[in-house]
Amino acid sequence: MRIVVIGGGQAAASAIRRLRQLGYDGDILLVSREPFPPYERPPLSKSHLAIGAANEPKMIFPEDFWEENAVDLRLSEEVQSIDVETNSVLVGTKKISFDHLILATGASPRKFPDQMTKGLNGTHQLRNVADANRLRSQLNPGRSLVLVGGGFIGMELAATARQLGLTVTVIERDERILNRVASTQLSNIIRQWHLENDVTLIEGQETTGFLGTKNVTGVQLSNGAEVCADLVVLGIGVIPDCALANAAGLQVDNGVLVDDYGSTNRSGIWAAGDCASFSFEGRMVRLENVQNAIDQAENVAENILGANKKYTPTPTFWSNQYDHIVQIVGLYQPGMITVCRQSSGRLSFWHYSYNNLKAVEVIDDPKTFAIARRLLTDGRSPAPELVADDDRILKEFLRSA
Amino acid sequence: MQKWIEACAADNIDNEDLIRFDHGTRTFAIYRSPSDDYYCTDGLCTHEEVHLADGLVMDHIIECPMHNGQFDYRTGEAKRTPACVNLKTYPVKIENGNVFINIGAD
Repeated sequence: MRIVVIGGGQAAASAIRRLRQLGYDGDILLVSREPFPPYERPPLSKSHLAIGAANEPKMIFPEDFWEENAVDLRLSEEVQSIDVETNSVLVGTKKISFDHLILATGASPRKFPDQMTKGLNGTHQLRNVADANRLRSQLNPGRSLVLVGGGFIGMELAATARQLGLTVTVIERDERILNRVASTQLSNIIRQWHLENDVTLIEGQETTGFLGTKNVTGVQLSNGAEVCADLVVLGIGVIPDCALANAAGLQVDNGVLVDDYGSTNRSGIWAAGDCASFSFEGRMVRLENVQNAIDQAENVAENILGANKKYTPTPTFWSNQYDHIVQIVGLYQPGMITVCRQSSGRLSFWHYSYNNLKAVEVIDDPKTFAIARRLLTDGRSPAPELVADDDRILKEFLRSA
Repeated sequence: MQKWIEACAADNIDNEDLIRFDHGTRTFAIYRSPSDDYYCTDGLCTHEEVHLADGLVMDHIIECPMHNGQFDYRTGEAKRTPACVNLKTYPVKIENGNVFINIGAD
């Protein structure tokens, strides 16, 4: 039997590890565009940009993992096409057949149209280690950086760049930063951290143009204002990489569509991680985080080996900014009822829908987070008034029926 | 070289829980299992330097509070990515209601 994995990120790595853990001893072939074996992306917006950090990324597995686990690693290579009739992929000019195929192709940063960015030097995006190395070489103290997009990647970069001594402005199109990904309560606190660190935040303004002739010198906003910049980083979201799936005739709609088991509409072809779209709490979602890449990929690996197991994720996310760590479990949606828990000076926000606990956001309190994650995973829903009572010991909620 | 160190009173650790124990420049995690057996591992997750003492013990698993890696604290085995390097474990004995750990030479 042969399993081919396309993509070189966390999902690809996790699927392979799980296959071997479960005793699968057939062929595994990994095709990745990247020149490195799967590495960790989260540090790219943080520690990787620090002065003196290595050019090489932090690898997910020790170097000898790939040989020990007999993985045929095809780095800096691309799959040209997938043939769903013959169950084969074209790598370069070579046709390779598979029994199972895992699409772990990830996502790419959303771009502004070329006529808007005009190919100006000094505009960056951040997805892979080459992007991060390019950006790092430009992050010199005293320069001014404009971040277009106030999502987590933008806010992490803002914190990193301030620590490196740059002047930083964040421009967010929505009425507030982190609008799509965090509650108002949490984003208010994060906003405060950035204001205390002298980041300029411009919310509710669209970026409508880029200034400069050869090098970027600033951006223009929808209210006509101009903001000067020596460099600009776009952090305006990602688009799932589904070109191969699309060309192969697999069902695609903002991601490769998979069922509860991770299977595409063709038996034997699976998808996991950022590129996969699946039904979660009654709507189609893609979860763009490390935890989902791990869990969904492991679930696919298990199902390839016959587990027949539904994927029931507990969405989990973390972000480091300045000396703070934010951790989120569950999916927050506007309109949820929020209670705040304050215990030993640590804050967490507990979000409920019709008295069902749906999401918890935790600031600088890993222990509370670990318990909240377990509560949500187990489907437990402690009453809001009990959670808000800081005399209550959280762990007790795990034991009560 | 055997070196037993007194770490804490046995009932300082709740059932199915753990504590952090620092000794010199080193940090350890000491666990009490649901059946009241005691175990000791290195205190930091092998994935990134996070104190496991902030994590959650469920049965014989310690779950790292940061990135959800899991270890069997009895053997140190990494059970779940992103953790993939095993935790070092240390012998433990209980004497007169106190927990002693053997961390070898300093």
